[in-house]
Amino acid sequence: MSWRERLTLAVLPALLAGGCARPLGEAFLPKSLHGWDRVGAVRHYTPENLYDYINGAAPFICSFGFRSLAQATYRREADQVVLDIYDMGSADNAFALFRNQSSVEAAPLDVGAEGAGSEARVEFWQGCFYVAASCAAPEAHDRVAALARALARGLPPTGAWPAYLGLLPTEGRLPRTESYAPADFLGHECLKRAVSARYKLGGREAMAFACRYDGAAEAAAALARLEAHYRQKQAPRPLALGDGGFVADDPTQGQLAAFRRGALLGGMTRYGDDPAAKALLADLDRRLAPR
Amino acid sequence: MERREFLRRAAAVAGVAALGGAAPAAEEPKLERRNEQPTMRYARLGRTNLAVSRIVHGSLHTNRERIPLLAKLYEGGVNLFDTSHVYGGGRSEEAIGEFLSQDGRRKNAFICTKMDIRAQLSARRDVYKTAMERTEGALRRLRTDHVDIMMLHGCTTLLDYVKNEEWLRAADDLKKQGKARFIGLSEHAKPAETLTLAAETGRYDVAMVAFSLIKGAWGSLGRTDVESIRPALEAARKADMGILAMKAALQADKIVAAVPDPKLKRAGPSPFQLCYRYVLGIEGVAAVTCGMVNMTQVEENLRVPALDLAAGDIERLHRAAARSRVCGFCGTCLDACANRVAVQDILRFEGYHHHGHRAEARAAYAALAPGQRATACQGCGACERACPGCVPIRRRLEEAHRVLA
Repeated sequence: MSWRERLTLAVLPALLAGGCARPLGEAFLPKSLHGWDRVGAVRHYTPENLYDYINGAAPFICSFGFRSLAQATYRREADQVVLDIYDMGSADNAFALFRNQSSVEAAPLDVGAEGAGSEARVEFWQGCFYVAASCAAPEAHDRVAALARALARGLPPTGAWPAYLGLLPTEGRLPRTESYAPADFLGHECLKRAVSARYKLGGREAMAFACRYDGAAEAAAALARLEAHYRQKQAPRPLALGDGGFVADDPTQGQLAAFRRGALLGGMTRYGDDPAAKALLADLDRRLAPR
Repeated sequence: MERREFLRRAAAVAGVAALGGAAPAAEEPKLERRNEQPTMRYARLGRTNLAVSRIVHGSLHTNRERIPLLAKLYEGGVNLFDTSHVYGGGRSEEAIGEFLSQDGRRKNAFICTKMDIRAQLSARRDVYKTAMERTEGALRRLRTDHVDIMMLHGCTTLLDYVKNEEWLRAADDLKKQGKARFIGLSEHAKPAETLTLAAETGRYDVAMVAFSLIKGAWGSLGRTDVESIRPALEAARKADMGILAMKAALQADKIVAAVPDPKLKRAGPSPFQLCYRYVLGIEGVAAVTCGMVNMTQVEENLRVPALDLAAGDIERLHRAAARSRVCGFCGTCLDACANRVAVQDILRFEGYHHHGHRAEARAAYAALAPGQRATACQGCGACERACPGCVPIRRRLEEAHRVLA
């Protein structure tokens, strides 16, 4: 590594530790990186023109709070790799995009706060950044992973994992199933800022979730709207949990249980009257309760 | 066949003929029908002879958490589900597979998925191998042994790859192996050129192309307005290709937000519905692909095919688009400028500057040839007269030059 690279990697995290307010550019994608040479200039995209690069996927990326993208191509001998650094504005958003965008069949990879690799593609999130390194040659996977790690060393570190993950019960939770949806969770407009995870309950897989609102009134309105949706077909039955809730039949989710606790909504799919389901919901309720 | 069923089918065939399916006149094609519901309309998808719902679910935002939406669409008569392995890193295919694999739905629906092999096409290596591997991955996630349509996924443009022999060999083999019944492509940036080329090859059964009533937001690479694509649609119709429109309402929300026209907000068809219904009325368009993320959007879009447009509805939206002054980077100004000023690029660089990328924006502007910069503008106003968004281009160029020079 040249002294310029060392200096860059040493100084940048300190400069940017305060957040992701500055635009990306030459700083993270220098002319030379870990033995790879950049081909051409760094290209920049904002929410207004992200279409020009990834087109149809742009609204999806933007829905997670996308701010800007710096993109460059690097070459080393016969290998060519495209590096995409998405500034998502916060670790909450970067984690959310990673969990919704990284290849579902990728294997966990030790890079960044959390990484994954498949064929010659490596993805990770760190701090407020979601990063993808793509190469056409599967045999270059290890070299691409090494490049991704070098890039990660130059990015600001992750202060903490998203606090919203603390709303979910940990017992029985299936690894790497935690996810975050800014809006339209389960296809309902009223279910916002939803964190969810999947759980093994006996022989079935259920999903627990929590949605956050700005106040108890908004949360109550959301619960009422959700209940009204199910009431169109069959009256839900009451659920005595938190500040009140209901259980309804959903054509694809089995029984759906939902309840409010202050400004939060909690719930689960594949609910049943069995002890495991009740224990999961009770644990969720405890976590949603004010401390 | 029961009488009710006979009448329903007869009405559906009549609907197909009336709604723009490109059926040869000499012989009534035998259509393959699935999940038909009385509230939905269906159309023949070119030579595939699939009777597809005129609303297609575009599942960019679909994942296992949004499976309830798929149920609502299916219940409403949607029978074509469009996805890709790149949507949510495969989560979209996974969700569709989970939903359709239950209760015998798979045999009652059509699946269209796409493979993104542009990196391989660009590098001219492993095209065939990757295409076959991507198909296996898609089938695994979709929990099926075949897809009805396999498309070459076009993010930006496929213009250089439509005739790639390795891809076409893979496409032929996928058909022979029964893993894909029909082959297609999707194109965002240069729909007219790509569709024309695809029709010429005779190898594509279906195309999903981006064009819209108002204007495309991604048009810096090409034209995506309806007028520019009409000749290509005619070429595709002659080749009996099935046409799915996409991105038909992309800017509708921005237009409506920018124009305080109470008539656009009155009860009746929403701007989105107008945009979708408009493209369904274009000859040769079988269906429109709509990305839907919540129940409200699903309910609204399911009503689109049966909408009767009132006189003036479309014109009102056109006028709103014109008054919105939203630049869609459609490129019309480039055609109009006799001096070849790089209007689109300059406005884009101004956007970079606005978003804080000041040094890069200035460098990009400086890299333009002197004759392409704002100073080369003669002030004739031809660009503004041509601009469908009525963007005050001359003033914007002056402002851009001030911050970029």
